[in-house]
Order: sequence, then C-alpha cells, then structure tokens
Amino acid sequence: MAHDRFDELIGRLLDDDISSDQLDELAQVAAADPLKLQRLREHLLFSDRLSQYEDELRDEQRFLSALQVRAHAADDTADFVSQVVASVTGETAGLRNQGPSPQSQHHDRGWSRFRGLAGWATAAAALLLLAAMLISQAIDAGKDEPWPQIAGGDLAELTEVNDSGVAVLTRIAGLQETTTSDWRVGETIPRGTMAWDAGLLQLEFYGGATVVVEGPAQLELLDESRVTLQLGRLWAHIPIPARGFAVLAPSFELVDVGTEFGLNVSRDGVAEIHVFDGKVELYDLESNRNQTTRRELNAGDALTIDRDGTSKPIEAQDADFVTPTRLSQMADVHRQGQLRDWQAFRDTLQDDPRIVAYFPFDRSADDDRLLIGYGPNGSSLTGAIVGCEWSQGRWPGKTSLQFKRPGDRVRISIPGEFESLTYSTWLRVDGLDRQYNSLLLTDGFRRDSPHWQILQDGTLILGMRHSNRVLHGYRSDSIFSLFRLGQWVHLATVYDSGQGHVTHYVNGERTTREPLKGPAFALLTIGDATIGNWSVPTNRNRRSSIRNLNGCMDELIVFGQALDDHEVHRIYEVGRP
Amino acid sequence: MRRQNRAISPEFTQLVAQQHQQLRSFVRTLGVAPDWVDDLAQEAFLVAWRERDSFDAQRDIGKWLRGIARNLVRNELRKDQRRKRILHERLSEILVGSPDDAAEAADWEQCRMPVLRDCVEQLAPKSRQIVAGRYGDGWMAPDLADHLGMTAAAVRQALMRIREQLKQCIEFQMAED
Repeated sequence: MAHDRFDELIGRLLDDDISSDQLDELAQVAAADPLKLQRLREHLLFSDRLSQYEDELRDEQRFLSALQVRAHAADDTADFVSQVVASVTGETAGLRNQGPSPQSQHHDRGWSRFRGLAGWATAAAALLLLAAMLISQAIDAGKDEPWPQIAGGDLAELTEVNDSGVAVLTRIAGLQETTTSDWRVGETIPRGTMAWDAGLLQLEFYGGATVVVEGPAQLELLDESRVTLQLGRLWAHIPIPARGFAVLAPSFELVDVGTEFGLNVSRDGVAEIHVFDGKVELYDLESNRNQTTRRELNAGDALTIDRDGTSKPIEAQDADFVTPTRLSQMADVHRQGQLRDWQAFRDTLQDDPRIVAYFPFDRSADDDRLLIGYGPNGSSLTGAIVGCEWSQGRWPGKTSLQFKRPGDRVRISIPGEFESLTYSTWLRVDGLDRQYNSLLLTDGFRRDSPHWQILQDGTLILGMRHSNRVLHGYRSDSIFSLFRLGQWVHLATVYDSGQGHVTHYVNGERTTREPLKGPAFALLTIGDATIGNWSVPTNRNRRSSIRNLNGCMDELIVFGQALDDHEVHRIYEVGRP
Repeated sequence: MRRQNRAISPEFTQLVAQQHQQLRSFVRTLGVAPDWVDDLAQEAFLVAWRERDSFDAQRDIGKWLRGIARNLVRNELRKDQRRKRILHERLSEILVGSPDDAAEAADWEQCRMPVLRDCVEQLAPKSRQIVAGRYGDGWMAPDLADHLGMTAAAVRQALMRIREQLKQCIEFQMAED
C-alpha cells in the first residue's frame, strides 16, 4: 500500500472520522509492516499529547481530581483489581506479586520506592499540588465534567433478557386482594398462578387468545396457549391463529377450535360452559386428549359438568360473562374516577407552599407549545416546548408530552435556592436509547445543580457536583427492565440535606437510600434547565452529548423540601393509573 | 482484608503528577478510544495504588504502570463489544502486542509538557490555529477546513506534518539539554 494511503488512514483515525472498513485496512497494514506500525504509534502518541496540551477538559487538575474521586469509590472493584494484578504478574517477570496482597509484612517496601522516586518531593510538595487544585476549582466552575470519569461511571452491563412472559395484561377493572402481585396494565405476565378476590382483568396471550377473567378467581398460566382455571368466570375469544387454546378445568380439558366461549368454575368445582360462537372440544382431564373421551360443543350449547365429570345441558347465558368491550367500558368508568381524584389532588397541590415547580402536563388550549406550570404560591411558571408532541397520558382525557427525537425537550427556568429538593414524575419510558436519558437536567453541570436522569442500564441517578473535586452520582438499583418499558411508572428522588441522604422511590416504594457524599457547597439551585434532554452552554465549538428521553411524561413536581416516604407514597397512590 | 485506602496519599498523588502524561499517551497508543483514554489511565493508577505493596523497588515505575495499562486493554478485548473502550479490536491487539523495549522506555521520559509547549508555541500561526481548532475546540477536519478555506484532506495532511514536526522538535530539544 502506498505510504500516502496509510497516512490518510492515520489522518482519518486521528480525526475521529474513520469507518470500520478503513480501520480493518489500517490494522491489516500495520500488522504486516513494523515500520508502519511504529509510525501509527507515534502519531497516536503525539495526537494524545497535543490533546492533553490543548483540551482544557483533559488538564492535569481535572485528571487528578477525578482520580481522587474514583479512589474513594474504588472499594467495590477489589475483585477486578486482583484479576488485573494477577495478569500483570504473569507479564512482568520479577514482580514478586502475590496477587491482591493482604497486610503484607513488606508493607512499606514498595511504598518507600515511591517516596524515593518522588525524591525531594515530600509531602509538602504534594500539599502544594493540592493547593493548586483547590485554586483551580474557581476557574473550573461551570464546566461539565465528563461523566464517565466519576464514581460509578463504568456502567453495569444491561443483562441479557429472556422473555419469560406468556401474556400481556391489557385491561383491569376494580381488582381487589390480588395475592401474588400488584398488576399493572401493560405488564408482561409470566407462567404461574394469578389469584384475586374481586374485579376483572384481561389477558392477551402470546398465542393470540384474548381472555377476560372475573374474580374471585384463581388462574394458572401454563404457557402461551394453555391455562388452568381453578376458580373464576372466564370469557375467551380465540381467533384463527390462536386455535388450540386450552383451558384445564377441575374435571376436563377444554380445547378451543376457533370461537368464543365462557367458562365458569365455582368453588365446589362445578363448571359451566357456554359456547357463543364456533365450537369447542372437551376431553377428560389427564386423558391426553384421548379421542374416546372427546365431546364437541357448538355455538349455542351450554353444559354444566360436576367435579366427577357428570354433565347436563343448560340454557346458554352470555350475559353472565364480561366481554372485552364491556370490560373496556367498566375500566373507563373506573379511570374517569381516578382522573377526577387526580385532578382534585392537582388543584390542592398548586397551593402547597413547598412547591417549587409543578407541571401537570395539561395541554393548553391557548398555546399548546407552552407547558403551563405553577411556581411557589400559585405563581405561574411556563416551559417552552421544543419538538415534543402531545399524547395521551395516564388516563383517557389526560394529556402527556411525548419525547422522542434527539431535539425534543422542554426548556424551563426554576428560580430559588434550596437546602433540600424532592423530584417526582409520572412517566412512561419507551426505550433507554442513550447512555443518559434525561428527566430534568440543569444546564451544563454546575456545582450544586443536580442532574436527574435514567442510565441506560435502567438505574435512576441523581448526579451532583458537590465541589469541583467531588462529583457523585446517587444511583438506584436497576428500575427499568425491558418489561417495564411502555408502562406508566412513578419515580421520585429526595435530596435531603437535613438527614444527609438521597433516596430514590419507584411507584411509591423506597428503593435506594445513600448518604450524601459531601456537603453541598452552597444551597441547591436549578435555574435554567431542560426536561427530557440536556442543554449545554455553547462552549466555543464543543459538541454536546445527546441525552434525550424516549417516552412520555405527564406530571413533574419539584418540591423545595425533602418529602418523607409517606408523602411520596401518597403522590403515587393518588396518581396511579 | 484490605488496608484502608479510601483516598490516595499525597505521595502517590505526586507520583501520578509525574507519570500521568506519559501513561495517558501510552494508553492512546494501545488503540483506546479517545474519550476513554483518561478513564482507563485512571483505572491503571487505581490498580497501582491498590497494589503498591507488590511493586518491586528495583523496577521502572513507568514500565510497571504501562504493564498494568496493557493488561487493562487486554481485558477490554475480552469484553462484550458494546462495553469496549477501544476503537477497533484487531488494531488494539496489534498495538498491545508490540513490545515496550528499552529504547522506547527512554522516549516515554520525553513526554514532558514544558518541552511540548515550547515546540507547539513555535509552530507557524496557521499550524498553531489548526492544532488549537482540532485539539482545543474539537473541530473535525471538514469543519476546520471550511473555517480555514482548505480541504479536509489538506487539514489532515497538515496535522500529520505538524505531529511529525513536533516529534522532531522534541527530540532536538532533548538532545540539546
């Protein structure tokens, strides 16, 4: 290859403008020619040296500060360190390294070498250095710190997810006393038993069947086209692709061949079958669908079957069963009630003296590019909508803003200084597309101006710059698995300077509490900020990172005080869809 | 049990101050993606700090640090693609595999900022402008080319030439010392 071509590839590499094919080509040439490899290394070296010299984000003080912060936070990397050290031992002969050495009796031997190397550089010299770092803080104020350099920056890997679900819960009305889980619309339901005392739910099975079940009920999902009904009133619609959907009742197996039917199993084990359309087949239980036990029921047929298998015809009664249409109407009535409860809550919240900013995300009839909100004492606070489109919120009749494109955002400005803050939002996350997915980010990353966002691994994080040297991300455990995407969820984070901790909440329950890593330098401020994205002050020509949210938000509250567990739970309860 | 090492000591900080420029540049020559160079270099220092007891006083500290960095990059190569902090797997393999010989170890000692500063500031104004635009402001060649009335290829060639000039300048200055 011509020298020119190789140089061009190096030039492109160092311009961060190289394709993967070109990288392949570069690697191939470098591997074959030691001189070219050497040339590549020199250019990489000088490129980095120039970058260190010119790029203020890479200056020495920053590097040292970030290292100090990481040293504080490095405890959890112990295992990783021992692995690396073990491999270093393998490479550099003569290193008498015993791996992660405990309180070695040679404790100070290696260390004295460091002192020796430092030569005249005693602790006093080092203190000078630290003093220089302190002075540089004032200069650095206001710049954004590259996040990956702070504690916890190495993102936990998104775990590979297998779909263990067999159905999606698509409607709910008046559910009571669910024994196994707090089910939500949109939730993926895995194999297993569902039981509840009253109310209705609708399941859409992966196989294509739609089933409405009324409680009291006990239902076991066996797979994507098979359930056991121990108790309850079940209505099923089986479109052609779902044919073969089976229900195991106490004394028989019902196999559907493309139809609509109702099945009621009472506590004494007596079952009632009504076929509304098409036909179903019945087999004795555990007969492995033995053809000799097969019975066929057609549209209009109805039957009761006792626990011992004896059956008798009855009159068909479809009014006893709740169909999806009726369930939808019932759910709507229920949701309208919920919406009214929330609206009452919204109206009282506007007078809450602790409110710093409250955006109920009600679409304004006058100007729907403005996000109408409330500040302290009922004052108005208006956000500028950029790009986002209006969408349905938690209930029909409630609006939300959809954040989708990289530019979508709402610009707001929240005045004031606070000792503590509470953030609360209702949102539906549709995807975690970015390393950082913004909820509410203050412009840039100033000291004492928090960044509230979701990381790609599904954790909620409150990023704080306590001082120029102390940056910390207060992270929750992972909240968003693949299966929580697309569901309305309530998130809250409390920065409590009085108690000295940061607490994250999901759906009203506390998930993580962490002590403050450093006192705030001064009071917290928000000022100019962005919902659902990040705005960086234009700093010459530096490119800003994209942190746009993918999802819908339909409520955002910022309180100028720390709310307690009970209050957060109440916001969740009154707002849950 | 690990010793209490919640924060690195002033002495170690001093060592970092002496070594970081070389080590960061070295990390870049292993094919680490530019945005992750400092991150990985910090990780190497953290490993060194944790394992300071195991360092043999007779050995070259710079070489020890480079060995740690090399192993961190080898770990990167084993990682899942999505989490890698390197630019290109094959390229990094080649770069990690090339030896850290004695002559080169001396070169790393040249990585001192004051010498570089002198050489950069001596560049012709246009070259200086290109360096500042590329490395200070983060412009890429096409943007910089528009700004300076050049072609992108010419900007990349100029940068190639400038890096070579700087190398010569530094070697010259070191020989003069």
